[in-house]
Amino acid sequence: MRFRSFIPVLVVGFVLALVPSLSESKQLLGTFIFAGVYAIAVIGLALFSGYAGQPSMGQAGFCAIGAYASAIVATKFNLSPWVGLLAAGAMSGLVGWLIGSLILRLSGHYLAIGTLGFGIIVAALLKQWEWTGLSSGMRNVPRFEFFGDALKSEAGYYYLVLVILLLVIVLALNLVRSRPGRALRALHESEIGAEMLGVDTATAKLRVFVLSAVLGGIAGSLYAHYVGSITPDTFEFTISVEMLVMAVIGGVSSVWGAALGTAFIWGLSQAIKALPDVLNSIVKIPSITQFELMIFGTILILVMIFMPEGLLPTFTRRKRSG
Amino acid sequence: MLLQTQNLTMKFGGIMALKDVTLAFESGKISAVIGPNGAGKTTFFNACCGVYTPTAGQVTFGATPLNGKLPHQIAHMGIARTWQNLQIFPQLTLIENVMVGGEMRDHASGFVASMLRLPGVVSKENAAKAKAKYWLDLVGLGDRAETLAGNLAFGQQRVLEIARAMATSPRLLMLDEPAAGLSSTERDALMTVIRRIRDEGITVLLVEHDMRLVMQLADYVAVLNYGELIAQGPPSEVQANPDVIKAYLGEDE
Repeated sequence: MRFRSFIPVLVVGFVLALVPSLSESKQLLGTFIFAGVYAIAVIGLALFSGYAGQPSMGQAGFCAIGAYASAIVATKFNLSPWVGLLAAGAMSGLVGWLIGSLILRLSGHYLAIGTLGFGIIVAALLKQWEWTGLSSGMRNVPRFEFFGDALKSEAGYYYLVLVILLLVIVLALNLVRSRPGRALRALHESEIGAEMLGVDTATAKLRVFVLSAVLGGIAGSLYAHYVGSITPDTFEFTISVEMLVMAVIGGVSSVWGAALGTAFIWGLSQAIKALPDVLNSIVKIPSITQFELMIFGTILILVMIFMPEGLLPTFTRRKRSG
Repeated sequence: MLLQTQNLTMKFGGIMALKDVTLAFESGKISAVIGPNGAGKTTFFNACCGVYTPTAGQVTFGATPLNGKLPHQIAHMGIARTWQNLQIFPQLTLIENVMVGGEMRDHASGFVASMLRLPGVVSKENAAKAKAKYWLDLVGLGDRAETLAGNLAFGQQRVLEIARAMATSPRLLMLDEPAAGLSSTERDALMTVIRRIRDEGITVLLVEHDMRLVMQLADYVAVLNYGELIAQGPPSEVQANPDVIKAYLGEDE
């Protein structure tokens, strides 16, 4: 990675590293940890949907596979959670490869529906397979071990997620700025044009799909080991939609945009959850989730109309030209 | 003969777009496929380079049959092309557009190597950039290397496609209506570029409406009408062929 593009990573990393020293609030750190975990999965989605231009509405399915793989390794096999993390990446990558080989011949709306189906099937299978003992969820998923109990505190886990997130950002930036990244952006704009320039578009799409699946799996694993318990409902399809909204709003062809969009939407959803008491005294709202989806939908429509490239590209372009 | 077709036939439903077209294009020459609108010229191109699978017949490149090969495999074998309905990458800069072509022959910088930015990646990228710059300069777009391709004028986008195709180091360059939408200055510059490409030993095959350009450039011309080959030979001969005149001007009644 060129040094100049490394600077933002250092600055963001430095600023975020200060958070635990500013506040020891468990709730605040928890919010940041969730946002970081989300961001890892959303960056994976942005590589596939944003750069390569292939819609996916099943990212939460890979998070589920990663979370369960990790939890099973740590609780049923009593192996180190680190092994679980590796297993999560490997398992979701493997499933991504199998599913991708099947459904990536679809494109556009059909691919969106195909990935949507995948996400729903994963959740349904986890719920229905009672003999596996997974349908009621998994509890007592242990935290990672590193220098004793260092990662068992909120601040420790916060730093773990931060380091992994920064690493993912660096790797993703390297990818999009080099040959395979260029090929993905090219096939996004003209698949036949890229193909005729020697880009094996089918393989390129499959690879980036597997990569996004692996990142989803890692995010799922980090979630499971942080919260300590997971159920099939944790990764239902609305999470996939939420992730797509995060990627689109931040700027779908931008690694930083994906991170920013995640922070924005996650922050907003936390704010909305804090609102109901105030709102309920004014108007009767049906449920927080529905209210949240209404707000997200509105924001998505506004962003699509007024800044179709997403928040980050819109603002950086204005700055460059002005 | 570098590129040969044998009874090439292409049917879309009930429409016969190409019918038993048997042609051979000599290596090192500039050849042209001409014909009135809807004669099947672009279909002929698409059937040759793997965009369409021919209904019947064979396409042979050198000694290798191309049937069943995907476009990217055909590109790797040494055929590059441009498109009548441009297929540039508007959100990529000019240099990036050309680099995508140039990086075809470099297999080492895969996904993982690029993510880790391993030592070889940077030097290969610089080499691809230098090569891309060479072709941009040659077609006269060198000073706009960092512009987004979508911001170029139509005629310049056409020329960009040629630079991009040349970056793949092809043996055969297929140009689908390269002069469409060009000003007369741009057109003259295009002819210089095409001759220069031929002089480097690369075979050029073009589909073109602009008769003046074809007659000045081509060593060999094939004429299609309603999907059938009606004439072929040197430009002067083809120009005088009564069937060709009839096809272009219509019949006296």
